[in-house]
Amino acid sequence: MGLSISKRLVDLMGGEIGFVRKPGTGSTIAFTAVLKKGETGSLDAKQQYYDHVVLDFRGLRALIVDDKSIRAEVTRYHLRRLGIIVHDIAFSMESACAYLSSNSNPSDSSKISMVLVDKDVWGVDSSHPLHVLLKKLRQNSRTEVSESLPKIFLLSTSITPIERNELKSAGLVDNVLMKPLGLSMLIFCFKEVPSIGKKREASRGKPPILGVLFRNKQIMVVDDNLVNRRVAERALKKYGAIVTCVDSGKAALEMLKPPHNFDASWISKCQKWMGNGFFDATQRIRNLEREVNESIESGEASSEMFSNVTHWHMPISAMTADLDQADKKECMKSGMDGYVSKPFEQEQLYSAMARFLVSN
Amino acid sequence: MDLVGQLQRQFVDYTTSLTREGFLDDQFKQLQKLQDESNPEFVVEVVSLFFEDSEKLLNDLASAFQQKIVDYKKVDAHVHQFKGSSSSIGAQRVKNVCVAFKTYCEARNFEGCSICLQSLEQEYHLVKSKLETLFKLEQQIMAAGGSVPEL
Repeated sequence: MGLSISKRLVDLMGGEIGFVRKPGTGSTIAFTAVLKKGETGSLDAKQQYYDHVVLDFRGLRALIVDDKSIRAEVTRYHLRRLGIIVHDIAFSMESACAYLSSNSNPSDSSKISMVLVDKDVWGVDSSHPLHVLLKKLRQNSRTEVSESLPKIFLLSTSITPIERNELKSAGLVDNVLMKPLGLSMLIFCFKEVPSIGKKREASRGKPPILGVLFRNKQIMVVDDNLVNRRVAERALKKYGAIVTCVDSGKAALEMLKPPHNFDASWISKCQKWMGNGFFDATQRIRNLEREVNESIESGEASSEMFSNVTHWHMPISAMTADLDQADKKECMKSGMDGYVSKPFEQEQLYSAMARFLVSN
Repeated sequence: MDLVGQLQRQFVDYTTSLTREGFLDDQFKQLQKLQDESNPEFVVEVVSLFFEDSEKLLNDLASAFQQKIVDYKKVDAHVHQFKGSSSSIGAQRVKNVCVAFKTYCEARNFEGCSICLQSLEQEYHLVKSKLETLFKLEQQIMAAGGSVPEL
């Protein structure tokens, strides 16, 4: 199946793929692809951002808990890109706990800063041994040291935002890392956890990251109140985004028929679109996208008609002053990807939008 | 302390008290952060929009309650707008009244709604005059040749 997927990707990139098989040794797979020269400007900004951020993580030590060694190696590779050292891999929760217990009074250089657990290994045990262990360690140690206990991350291929929030608010994990792993995703998820990584004076305070994240991104703001539109627009424009404001779900729908150039959309609740608020607008947008995606897939329409994008899914965030649990569930059900709430301060903007805007 | 210094001190004290008394919250601080050389009048502009918008909403609300039969859906829509705009500029007390107001709307509780409407008018006029005082202080500082302190 992997080869079949790869072939599709290579075909889409205008190339060819082939392999040579040596019995007893293995296979060598090679492909060609047609690539375009990138704009040097955008590369510099991104590179600067990564260089700046990697400094926060270089030299940290992590423990991976995974019963599949090749999968664990892939995780180790991704962490290495951030300069994070993985000395050991534990194959079960028990061995991970034993390891951490023996590591509980480490010198600075051997201290484990984070534990990454694959969902397969995590899944079955509802007694959450890691959590129990950390609680014990926290109680046994002095308060200053407890700050530096390892952070726990769950590695998962699929998890709903609701499940993620439940795990986080129960204190069982510090964050969930979605696979496939990528540099930007890792950075984003690690940064969501306060006090991880080294504290450098420069890194506390305003992240230049927001400028990189939002620059030249096309964002649509949908709100029927002028004050809200003005404030949201300014918050985005400050970081270089190109903002289009519309005052109704109807107007938004007009502009969001594929093909369009928007990178993301903020839709507020007070949309009098058939009296159903922003959920309804989102559902209509998703329906539009689904129609287009189906017609491309079935061959009825070619992706060229739609700017060569074969799968349309625009990130939509609910823009709101406060969102209760019931609202959150409705949002997810209607096809929204997340929410952004006031105040639109930097940390919030970053954590709400980074995963949509960091292009991979 | 010279005049500019005095005025700046007044400004800081006044803003602090407004936050402490719950009139303005973090979102107002964010508004101030959004203001810069390329948008030097942003806060005043947005707050003026808020005043215009609010006065219209209060009128709409008053007339909705003067009807023989109160259309609670309409009232709720107006209050929702007010809640959104007040939270956008950080007018916390106004926003809080809106939250309570919405609950009474959902319950179709006439008395509760009437009380909220009165409360809303009160809180709105309070925050309006406080903000106008704040802006006057800013103008005085700048007229005296100083710069408005960042908080």
